[in-house]
Amino acid sequence: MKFLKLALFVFILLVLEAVYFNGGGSLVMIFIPHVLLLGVGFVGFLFGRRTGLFWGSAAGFLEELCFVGPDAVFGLTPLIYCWIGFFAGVFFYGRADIENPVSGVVIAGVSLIAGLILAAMFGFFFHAKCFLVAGPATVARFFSFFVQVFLVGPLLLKFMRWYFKAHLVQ
Amino acid sequence: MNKDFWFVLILTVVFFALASLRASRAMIAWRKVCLYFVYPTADTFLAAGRYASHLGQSWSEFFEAKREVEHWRMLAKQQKFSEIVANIHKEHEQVTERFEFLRQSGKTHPVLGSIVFSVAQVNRRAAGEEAWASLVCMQPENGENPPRRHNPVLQYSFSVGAYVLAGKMLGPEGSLGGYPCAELITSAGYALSVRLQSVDEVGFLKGLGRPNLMIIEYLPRDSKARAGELVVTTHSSWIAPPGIAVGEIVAVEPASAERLFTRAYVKPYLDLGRLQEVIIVRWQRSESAAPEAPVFF
Repeated sequence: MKFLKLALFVFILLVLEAVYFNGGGSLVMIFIPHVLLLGVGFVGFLFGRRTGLFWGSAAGFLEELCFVGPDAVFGLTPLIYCWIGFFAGVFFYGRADIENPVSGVVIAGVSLIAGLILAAMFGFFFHAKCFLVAGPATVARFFSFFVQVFLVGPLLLKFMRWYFKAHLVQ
Repeated sequence: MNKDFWFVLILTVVFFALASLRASRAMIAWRKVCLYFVYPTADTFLAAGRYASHLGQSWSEFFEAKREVEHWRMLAKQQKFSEIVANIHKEHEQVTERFEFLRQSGKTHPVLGSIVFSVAQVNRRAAGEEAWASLVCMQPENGENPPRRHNPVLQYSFSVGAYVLAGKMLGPEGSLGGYPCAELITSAGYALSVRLQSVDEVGFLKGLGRPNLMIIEYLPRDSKARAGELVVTTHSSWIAPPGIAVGEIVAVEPASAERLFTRAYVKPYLDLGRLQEVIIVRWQRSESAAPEAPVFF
């Protein structure tokens, strides 16, 4: 049941991103919502490093399949996501308060920053386009970063607390 | 070390290897192919997925567009071909018009009006500066009898506004590739009796192999010839009808006590750069058979 719920959760986040892009949402503020990246970080925070590792890889594969163009090198997005999920579980599982919205802010911020840095690094070393850092660093992008960290992060954590209520052990 | 760390390490190695392998580039290529099959202009699978339900329609539209492009290309080629054909027809009409003009104007000419002549298009010139100014070959019009040796050849010079002497036919031994040829007056071997029209002096015109200069020899020592004097054919030239313009004098050598004759230099009216059609003078317009030797007057 937990497996199915997690699968459905990842799928919902993927659809949300797809709807945002294809429903004209990208015209709003021209920022890219990395809800799947945040979700993977929170999965690692809530369920531990192994779950974060597994679902990070899965989410990365799905994201690469749907959003990354054929020019990208295959395998880098799943790698980034599995690292985010794993290390979120290593550093935050059992250590941060899941009720506290500040935890949501911190984990969202760390996941986003780490993901963007890794994407930029891999893109540089492999001479490949990375979905996470596609496009220029505009003011809107910086604004969207703060929106995702301070607004979307805590809200997503709250949703996940409600959604996975029966499966949380913390 | 924790099992999970081993998992991460293994996955990292696998993903790095996947990203680094040549196979990943091949995978990229195949992904492009798959994407292209779904929708040719999509840049992600998600974008292409929007059109997956219209796959059949998108491909039929693609092939229709391809057919249309090929149709327009074929039309463009046909149009180009048609333009080439139209240009050929236009050139043929222009040549026919020129020939007709020469025929009609020759009929009213005071000299040519009484002579049988034909118009031929030049189709071959010899190579080299001297040869280019010496020899010209032509295609007889409408498969008439080939012209004879020594038949004079004239050119209508639009700059002078008159028929001018161009040369003489060489006969079968001088033909090239089956086409009859004529020796031009500027050829080094050409020679002709001429008359200075205004002063009524007779001399011997010779070609020098140069396109714009000839020489008249055996002019009287006290010749009254001056630059600008018109040089025409004379009765004694026997090759060409008399009174046909040849050129004009550009310089006269000063008289010398040591020489019996003087010389003059002539600029021929023959326009080598516009020698496209020639008028071949055949024989007198009479009921008698054509003479063996070309006797005109």
